[in-house]
Amino acid sequence: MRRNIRSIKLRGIDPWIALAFIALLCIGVVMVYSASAVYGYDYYGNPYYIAQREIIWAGLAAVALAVVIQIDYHRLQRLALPFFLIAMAMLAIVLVPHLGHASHGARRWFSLGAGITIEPSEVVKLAAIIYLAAWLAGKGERVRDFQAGFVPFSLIVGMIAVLIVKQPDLGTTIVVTATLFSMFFMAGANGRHLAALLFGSSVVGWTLAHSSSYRFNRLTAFMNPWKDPTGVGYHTVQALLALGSGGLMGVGLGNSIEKHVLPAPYTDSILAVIGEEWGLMGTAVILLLFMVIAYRGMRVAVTAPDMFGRLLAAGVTSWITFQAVLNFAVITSSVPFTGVPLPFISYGGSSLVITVVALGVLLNISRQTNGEGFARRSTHNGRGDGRSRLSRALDHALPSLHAERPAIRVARAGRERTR
Amino acid sequence: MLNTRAAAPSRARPVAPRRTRPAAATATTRPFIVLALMLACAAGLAARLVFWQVLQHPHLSALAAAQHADLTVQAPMRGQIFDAQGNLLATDVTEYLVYAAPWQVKDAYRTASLMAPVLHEDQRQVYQLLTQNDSITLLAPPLNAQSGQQVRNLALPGIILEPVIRRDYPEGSTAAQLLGYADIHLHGQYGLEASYDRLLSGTAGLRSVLKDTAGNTIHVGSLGDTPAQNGADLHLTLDGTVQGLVEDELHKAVLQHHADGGTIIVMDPRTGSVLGMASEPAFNPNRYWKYPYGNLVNPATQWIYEPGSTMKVLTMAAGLDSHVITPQSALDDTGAFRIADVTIRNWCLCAFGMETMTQVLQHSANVGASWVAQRLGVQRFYHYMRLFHVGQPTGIDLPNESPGLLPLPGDKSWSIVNLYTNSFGQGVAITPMRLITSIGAIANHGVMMKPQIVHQIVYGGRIITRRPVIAGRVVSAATAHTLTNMLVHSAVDGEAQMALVPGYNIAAKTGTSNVPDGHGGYLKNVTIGSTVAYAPAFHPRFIALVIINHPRDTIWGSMSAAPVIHNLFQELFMYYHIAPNPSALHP
Repeated sequence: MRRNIRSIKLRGIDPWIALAFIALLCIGVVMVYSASAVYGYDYYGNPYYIAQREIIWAGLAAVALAVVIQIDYHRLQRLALPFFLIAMAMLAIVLVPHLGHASHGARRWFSLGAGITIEPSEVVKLAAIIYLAAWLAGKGERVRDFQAGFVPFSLIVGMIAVLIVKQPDLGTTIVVTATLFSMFFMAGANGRHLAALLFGSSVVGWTLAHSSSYRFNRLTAFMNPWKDPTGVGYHTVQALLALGSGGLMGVGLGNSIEKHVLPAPYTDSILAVIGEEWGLMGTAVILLLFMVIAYRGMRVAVTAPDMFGRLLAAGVTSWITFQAVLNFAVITSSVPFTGVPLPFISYGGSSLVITVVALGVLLNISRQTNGEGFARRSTHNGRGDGRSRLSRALDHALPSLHAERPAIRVARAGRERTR
Repeated sequence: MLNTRAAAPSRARPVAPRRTRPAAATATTRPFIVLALMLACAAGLAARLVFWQVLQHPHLSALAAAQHADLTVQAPMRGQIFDAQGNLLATDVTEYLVYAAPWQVKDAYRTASLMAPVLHEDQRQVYQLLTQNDSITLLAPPLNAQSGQQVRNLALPGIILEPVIRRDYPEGSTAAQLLGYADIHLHGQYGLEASYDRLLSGTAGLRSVLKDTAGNTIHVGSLGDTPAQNGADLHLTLDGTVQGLVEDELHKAVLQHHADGGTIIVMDPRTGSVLGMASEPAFNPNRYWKYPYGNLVNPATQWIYEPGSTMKVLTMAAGLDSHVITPQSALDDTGAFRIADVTIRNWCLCAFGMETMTQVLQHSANVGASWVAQRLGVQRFYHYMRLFHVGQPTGIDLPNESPGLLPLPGDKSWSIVNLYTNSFGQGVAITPMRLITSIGAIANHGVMMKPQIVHQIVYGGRIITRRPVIAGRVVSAATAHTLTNMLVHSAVDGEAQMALVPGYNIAAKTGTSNVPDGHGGYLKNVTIGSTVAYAPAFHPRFIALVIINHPRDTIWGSMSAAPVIHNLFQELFMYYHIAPNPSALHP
């Protein structure tokens, strides 16, 4: 990696994903500043305190992205297992008192000093996706097999879920589990196995919800947050007040009042602040940007050159989308309250960097896709498979994409030969 | 069935590949299913966003506003009251209550040593208050603004400063009944403070301060403040100098005659402006709570009495104006005037013989007044009483004015005797304000002016100046002139002579009122002495009514009240630079 920045090759990356990401990151930096100015002023005497760190993290993330885009994703296939094992070890160690850094009643972080913390569960998300993609790709058709597919998959997912739930971090558990399930599904898992898994995890989830008063209170708070607006329903109510205060066009950048009282205004609840300052216009644009990533990401997944690439792209896309969807659902009080950051937008140091790295992997895969296969096949299948008219319109609007692809294919062919 | 079951395992394997879709199909179809799921979620979330941000927007934004907007009431300053010279009669002062929260005090000894000199309290006592087991404790009486600032500058933990606005009356008891007072809640009670309470109060401002849920003020721009609108300032017609003279003279007279109290009103008959108004016993509005209820009310407008002989002025005016008498009309005063079973006698129980109308006034003869009433008859007498507004309030801008009592023909309590007793001021009860206003009409050439106490109202930069208000023409200018002439002449060597000032024509009439005993008769040896006078008689600048309530050394108004008029007028002539008239009747 001794190339200078000028030689970074961006050719062939999916421009829609890249643009959506840049838009989200920019919105994130601005909104983190807007949402954290009060906190920064109150606690550090500097309204820019959090925003300055956010800019450093965003810069780091951009550098990481630039690097990751250059790394052929196939290299990850060999690193998958060691990376996964290291991440799992971190996840286990973080639960050990004195080693893990506890905050807000949860033990999720490693403190690296100087206020920098690393959240292993974020690392595990990426590591698990890479590992599972590699593992599932290696299984091929045997994914459908009970003993070769279902049992090990259940064990892997169960192990990850238990470690994250222990922290406790239900939101991340849900995102990771849903992402791995969707990868398993897309890898061609047996429908009955999946149904059993979904049923099993629902039972586990229900039991977990009732096992801790902290979770159960949040569950009941979601049903009727106004019953106890100053207690368990506080966070939900304040988020809804922020959203509702925004209306259609919002109260304007920096004018949020709820950010003064909303818990975690620049991390997990930043969407509420956006909703207040930019109104439905702002939240809808962000939702749309995530759906652009979802659609283009899945498009990358379908057109990826090999099974590992497909599953990796699908996994990264699912992760980002599910996490965004869960965050939206929580803020709109559509599901019980659980804290997950809004990808690319929430302040969150290591979390941002890891998510951006994952996006870099996705973009790298997009450079190596065979776009035509996806488009053609979809066209033949008509709309019955969920393809929207918009996607076709995009295909026509971006002829340059198709023009560039043959070159990539050649490059990929070269790589495949060397492997 | 059995066969089928047994065969099932063997058939299962060949079937399996058929159920498995081609890998390529799975690879494209399943991502689409996941994508469809994601888009469905997004659609649902978009619907939720629309629900909260559009449909619930009015409700939620109102809730959010209610949560954050903590309205602090901005107290307006109560309007100030000034006399005609611009002297401050009533104002607001900000004082500071100093509390201590002992549990927050860091170093009680140091705090006590710093606070004691500012509070003018003993250091040990302050220390004791600071260390006692109390959640909050008042450290000292209210501090003035300067001491309050000193405490603020000390900025000691656990010391709480609370500003309070107190009404202050710099002149103490001056014009106390006229002003009334504003209580600790700054609500006007009695006097002008009550009648102008709404104007003086102003409008409280609302400052919406944003608060977080812990009650801390959020330092961002505030929402729609409405500033406090300070109360209106009142500029009175009351002349501070005249008021001072009036109060001094009243106080001297009440002391001299060991009277229960008294009232003096000085008005400008041309405009109805009240120049001075005082009553004893008075009170200090700065410490109103220390006085009995009776001191707080204003006798000038709220107390009624039988005016006695001063009423003869009105009787005579009615007679002259309806031409039933002239100043030269004469009667033979036998000392008794018999109507039905009642005999009316003169105050001296004597007979004055043949006397003209001027002499009736001079002698203050009840028989003569009854004779006039008889000539007037019921219709005309009460017609004039109504014109003089006897038995009606003057409409002065003071609260709870009493209308007085005048039984009229047709009333149950009225009989023909009332006509004659009314003619010399009995069987009728009016306020001092009513009497001076009605007689003021004679001074003002027959036109009665509505009495006024507030000259200007200054409210929010606007100045509203009160114009004199005519209450009505009562008698002709000729009648007024004739009667004034009679009053001037009758005063010289008459009952009212002690009211006179050499070199000036003064129209004066004394009165001695009996006090009803509540059983249809009058109390023995309890009288109210009064004198009403205006000067210079033919171009009057002021009219004054002096009432001395229950003088102990004399029962007669000519002895108790008339000398007060003398003293007062002497000083008023000097104050108003009125030169003596060389052709005055009284040299």
